[in-house]
Amino acid sequence: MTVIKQRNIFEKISKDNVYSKLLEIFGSDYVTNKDVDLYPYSQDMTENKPHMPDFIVIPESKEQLIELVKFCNEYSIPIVPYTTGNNVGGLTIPDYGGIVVDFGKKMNKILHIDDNMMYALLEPGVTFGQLKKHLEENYPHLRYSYPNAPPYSGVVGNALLSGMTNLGAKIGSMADSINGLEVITVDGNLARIGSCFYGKDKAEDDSWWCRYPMPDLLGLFLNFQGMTGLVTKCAVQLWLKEPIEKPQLVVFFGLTDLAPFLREVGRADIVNDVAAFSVEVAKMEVGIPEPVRYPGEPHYTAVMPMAAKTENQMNAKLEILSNIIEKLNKKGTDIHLIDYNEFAKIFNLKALNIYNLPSQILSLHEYSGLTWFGAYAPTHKFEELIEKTDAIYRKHGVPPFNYLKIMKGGHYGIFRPIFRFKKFTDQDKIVKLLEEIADVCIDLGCIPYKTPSWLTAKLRKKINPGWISLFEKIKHCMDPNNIFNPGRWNT
Amino acid sequence: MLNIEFPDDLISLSLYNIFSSRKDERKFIKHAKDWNKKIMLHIEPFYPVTVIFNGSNIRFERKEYPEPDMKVKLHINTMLDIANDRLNPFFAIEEGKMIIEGLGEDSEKIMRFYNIFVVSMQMAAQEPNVNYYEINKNTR
Repeated sequence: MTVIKQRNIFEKISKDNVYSKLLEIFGSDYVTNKDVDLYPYSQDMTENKPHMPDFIVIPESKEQLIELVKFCNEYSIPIVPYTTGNNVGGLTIPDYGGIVVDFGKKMNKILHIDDNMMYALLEPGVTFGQLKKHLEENYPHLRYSYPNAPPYSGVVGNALLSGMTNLGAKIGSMADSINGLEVITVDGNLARIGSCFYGKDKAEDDSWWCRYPMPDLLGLFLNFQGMTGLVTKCAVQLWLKEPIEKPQLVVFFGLTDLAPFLREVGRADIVNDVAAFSVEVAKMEVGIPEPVRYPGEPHYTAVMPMAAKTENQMNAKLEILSNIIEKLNKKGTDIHLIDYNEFAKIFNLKALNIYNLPSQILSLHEYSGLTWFGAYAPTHKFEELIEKTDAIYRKHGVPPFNYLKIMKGGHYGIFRPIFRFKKFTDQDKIVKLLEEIADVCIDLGCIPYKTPSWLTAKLRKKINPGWISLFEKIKHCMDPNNIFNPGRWNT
Repeated sequence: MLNIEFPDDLISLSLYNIFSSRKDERKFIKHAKDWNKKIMLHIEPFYPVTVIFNGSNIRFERKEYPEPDMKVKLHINTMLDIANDRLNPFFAIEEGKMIIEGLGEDSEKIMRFYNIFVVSMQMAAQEPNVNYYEINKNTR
């Protein structure tokens, strides 16, 4: 049932007058206030409470958006940016109503691919599937980096919210791969950030190649969940596609064997990514409805995309990998390496969905609910995180669905317990489990990303007061009337 | 027509995958139907699974049966070498990479084992079972 929070956002102007203004800006085909249209935007897959927006608009130009922002700021009407609604954090649920700006329908163009400096200039609605197809058809030697997410999820949102992808072990957070942004701030000012900052009215398409060395204003928009402005263009880095690919599967028979492996393989700089899952996730992926781990099965499996320029380079990488495993096994772990492509053909081709990204892992989305505690994690706490969450899963009678990664050459890690659930029957149970897991993980130093507001409320109790004060000052300075996605980070 | 029970452990799932792609194939049916044998397969570093052939049915048990008709032990990477034609299965036996107990001199048993297990693996490696959305539709 959709709940409507009581906050009168139409104190300064009537709802009818807002509607008239929106019709004037966007045209009648691209504005709606009908419940049947608003309803899908009122909720997502997660446990976060639904809330109806008042209007949906579908923009096609920055001029429209500048006018919208000026208008909304004058009358304190909330604006919530939306691309595809696939974030697992309730981030586009309009907690205080207002206007949802759906970028996915018309502002979804790939504006430029720069072959020389390897970046893509994108509108906010571009999806991973769209970008991959465009590159494969037009620039087959270039690649982007893809998450374990459906092809219809958004590239720009993922980058702005520090998502992670299948180059994570090399490049780290996707926010690090942003070269530049075009943003509309609350006063209707259009700012270009990054090397594209030269030029009065327009930046050349080939000028979005770097975000340094000027003061890095990009940070004002990263991980703010749309609270500081509307992003209208984003340049993301691309990489050369290496011709030799040999993904590897690693199986871990000891509960915490994965932890030292992630640390070692991360710093060895030989893999593009390590996507490590509880074995229950692997079984779910091939269609076991309620997977459990049996004795003799590994606790964890890891899929590792490996790529090289030559066979010799690949063999050298594989040799380093084997040596790491041998060294760890001599110290007592029970880790084994298997060729992933060959194994998948025997085991089940569906397993390749974890490697061929982006992909729709159907079984992950087959229930009405999906949520997670997705966090950046200190890698020296991996063992404790695995053991403590394992005990919590057992206590609640839920199979462990953990997902771990090593990031940026071993500098940090990702720890992400995932839960699929039936919204109308299991939600209370899952929320209880999720909260318990969140408390343990935060105590161990994990920092959640794409964070829902119930979780940022927990974080605020632990964050140093100086940070909170600075954060609030910035938010107030960037958005004094709190119109940009209000409620996020408990603003 | 053979009935293959849908299992829920990793090794049996693999066997299910490679058998199910051939379950309507005449040659496979000829070898698997009415074999009425229990074949224990231990793919290291995993666990033993007993494949039970009973009339038109094939099912899997996640354990070492007390008195199986055959015991086969090999490493997963040896299995992949055989499946991908990098290692001849007879050389694998000779080199001790695949250990088989209970094969004896029974040529029919050798023939059936070879056709059901080795050929199916090789076929799956060369032409993977693409019916992956079909295999579990009855269990959802």
